[in-house]
Amino acid sequence: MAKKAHPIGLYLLVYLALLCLLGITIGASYLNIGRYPNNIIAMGIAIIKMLLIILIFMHLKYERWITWFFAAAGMVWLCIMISLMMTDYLSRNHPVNSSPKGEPVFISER
Amino acid sequence: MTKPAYVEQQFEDIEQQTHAATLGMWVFLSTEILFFGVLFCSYMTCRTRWPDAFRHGSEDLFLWIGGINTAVLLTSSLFMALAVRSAARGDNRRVAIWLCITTAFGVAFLGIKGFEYAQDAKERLIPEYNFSTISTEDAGKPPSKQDPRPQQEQLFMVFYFIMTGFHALHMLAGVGVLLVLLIMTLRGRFSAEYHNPIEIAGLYWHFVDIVWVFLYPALYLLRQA
Repeated sequence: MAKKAHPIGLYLLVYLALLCLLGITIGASYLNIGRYPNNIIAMGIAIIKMLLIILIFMHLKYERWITWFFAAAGMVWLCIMISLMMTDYLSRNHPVNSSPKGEPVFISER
Repeated sequence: MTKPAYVEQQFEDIEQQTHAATLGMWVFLSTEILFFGVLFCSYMTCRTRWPDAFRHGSEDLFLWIGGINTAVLLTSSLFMALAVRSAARGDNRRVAIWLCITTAFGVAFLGIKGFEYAQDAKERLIPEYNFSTISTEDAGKPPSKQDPRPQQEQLFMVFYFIMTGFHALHMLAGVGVLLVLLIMTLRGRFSAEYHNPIEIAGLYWHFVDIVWVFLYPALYLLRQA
């Protein structure tokens, strides 16, 4: 049976990379470069961190293709759900920052 | 052919059992992706709808407490990975040490999270309990100098508490699993051949870490207009 273990240095390297990415993402949140670049940087770094954790810490590199298939299935369905939902919401003609009926306040004043 | 006691009767050998168990864990994690995915999806739709209120909500959260918690969780993941590595080499003494440290970091995360919730309550951010459009900082100022929160920020706070709350529940379950594994390790149940429970518990622990890796930027860091 194949031993599923990386050398200890690789784990430490990945850990340091994750901490660096955490620092970068916090720093980037202070940059005033507009909403969309800001969101893309934050989520892009999160995806890089996810890939590092899945491939190295979770040993997906060592698994058979069937495990890759099952791991990808959840992601694929999530992408379908998000993309179909957002095509709907982004193409509706609702005024931003208002309730569905166009009223300025969604939750009534207490 | 006789099998060792740790191979269940439906499996041919330990390798087949290990693959089945690992695959089963990934199936479970796929359903978990969709569980948290639905929350992220509805969060996205509401965020595109009320961008200003949600940005204001992100600004009101404690970025540094969340950042420290991310570091704590990443550290716990490192020690979990080390525990799995030691388990594969049959070094049970090290496995017990790494599992203890992992659990300690997990408990530390929950403690910091609880402290953060208390701070949120002080800032009057809890919807339907004490949410106020006037922050505690602004309370003493004259109305013209105040920067009131949008009412829809309550919606952001609902997402915040549900998403981080479910994440904390997953952490709690993970801590319980790690404690059980710790007892099993101390009783000498694992060996270099049979250590799969530690490995798939590790998968779960890393997954909960990944959820937080996405929650943190989505909730705390999207603060530019």
